[in-house]
Amino acid sequence: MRDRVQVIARATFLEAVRDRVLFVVLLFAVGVVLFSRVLGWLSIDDELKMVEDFSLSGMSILGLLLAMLVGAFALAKEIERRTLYSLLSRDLKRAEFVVGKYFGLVAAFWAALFAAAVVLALWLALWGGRPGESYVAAVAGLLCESLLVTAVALFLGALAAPPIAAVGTCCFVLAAHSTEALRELTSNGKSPNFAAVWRVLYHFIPNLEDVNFINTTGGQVPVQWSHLGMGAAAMALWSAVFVGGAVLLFRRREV
Amino acid sequence: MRTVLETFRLEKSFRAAPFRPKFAALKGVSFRVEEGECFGLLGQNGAGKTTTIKIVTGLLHADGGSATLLGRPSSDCAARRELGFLPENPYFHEHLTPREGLELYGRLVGLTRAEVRARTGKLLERVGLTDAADRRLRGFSKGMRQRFGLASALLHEPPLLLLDEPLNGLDPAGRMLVKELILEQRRAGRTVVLCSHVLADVQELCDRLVVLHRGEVVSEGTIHELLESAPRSFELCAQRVPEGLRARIESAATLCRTAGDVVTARLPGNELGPFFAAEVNAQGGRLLSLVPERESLEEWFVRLTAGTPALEPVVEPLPQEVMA
Repeated sequence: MRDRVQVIARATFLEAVRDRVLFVVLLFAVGVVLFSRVLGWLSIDDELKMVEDFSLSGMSILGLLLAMLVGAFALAKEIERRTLYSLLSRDLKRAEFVVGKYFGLVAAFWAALFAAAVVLALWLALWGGRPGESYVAAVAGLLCESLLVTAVALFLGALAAPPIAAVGTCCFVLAAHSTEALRELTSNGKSPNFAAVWRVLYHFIPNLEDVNFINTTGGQVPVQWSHLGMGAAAMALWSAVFVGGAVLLFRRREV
Repeated sequence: MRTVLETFRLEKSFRAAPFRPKFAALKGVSFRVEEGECFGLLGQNGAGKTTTIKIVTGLLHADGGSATLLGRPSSDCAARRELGFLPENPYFHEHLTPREGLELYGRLVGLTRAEVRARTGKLLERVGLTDAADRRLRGFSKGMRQRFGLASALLHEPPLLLLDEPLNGLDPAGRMLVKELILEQRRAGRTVVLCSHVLADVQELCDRLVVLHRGEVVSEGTIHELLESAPRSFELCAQRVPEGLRARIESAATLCRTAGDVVTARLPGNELGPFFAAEVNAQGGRLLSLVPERESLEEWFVRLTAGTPALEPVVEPLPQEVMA
């Protein structure tokens, strides 16, 4: 089973790497990194912190957009292009296909994020900055975030039409970055009925802020590695849940 | 002889749009393919051929009935390891080269990387894609894709080949190549299931066939059995035919021409031909040939699926003036 998952993941990775979309996004991310220096000069505060934060935020948004679009369209594209016929008519379980697809997409996003992170680190070093552990934590957080967003996009892509899945993933990302607000609504809300709804949503929406370490860059705030570890474990767990959901949905799907 | 593919009362319905009633694409399709034969699956567009194939290959789930591959349910992935499948108008991952594509598909049927590499060169050469082995599939023509699809189906030397319109989009050389490959597989003892609209190809390649029409099996058997009917007419060719007999032949024939002392006549029905052949011999003429004309597979198929009556052979007693 592992072999077949690997084979599909490798093919998916190759497809994403050879697809121009990934390169365009990567180039755009590098553009954001380079442009951030201009904002740094305009900043009245720590210039390099501005460069770092802006670049990481840009990478985060681009990474999420990519995960949303590619993840939401991944399964539908295989069905629409009928490339799935040549795969599923062989000794390949649908679950293996979905899991392989997921790992391939994640590997591609991680490669792109990693490349952009290296460019940013070199860029910071060029201007006298020293990307430290807070930088590593922020990049690791982005990788964890893409892990979950890809899983959600894949799940919604198995459930609904790709454009709806992409919009749904976008809504999910916004909600998952706002779970703290939901908690406040739970405690401060006037209506007890709505408080119950907020409470349920708070518990059932993963908190992407758990792996958001962009604000800790610059070294002013010490990195809590245990916090990152817990966040990463939560993201992995939630990802497994969503990928499992995608497998269940895809199992009965007629192609 | 072992049954390698069997469908039993397969049923499948589709809904064209939400809230619309379902229509039955398959209404209890049953047939059996024996080991080593070349089996044709015939039917007009919408007859249910592709739906049947999709169920057999695990792409669709049947609403009722069952399909087995080499004795295992077709939904069992391991059973599909023994299957080489070429879909109609095959699509592949276009970012891959044929070499990479074969590695992908080969690994999915349990071949090691070394095994795939050992077979790739020979197979690509066989289907005429050696020069394009490292070009991406994106730039391939329809015929090249078809040949690559065939290579991917043959890669693991499966005992059962399921080919959906394998001659589609091929130029004459490509068609010949694919036919040769199919015949090679048969000679190697493999079973081939051929799904095609081109009846001449089916007639040339298949031993046995099943005809689907509106989701049902309407006919099944060997081509010989299916076309074995009384001849529609005879073409008689004779030399040195006595004048009286020649006049009788001319009056009975639907078409008659004379060149020197050779008479060629088309005699309707299944009795006039043998009757006049015997007369020619009895009256000192020389019978050159007597060829029965039967219904072609194409005529038979159109009649079967269009519901038109057969062109019945004439079996009435011979007219008195002919017998005289």
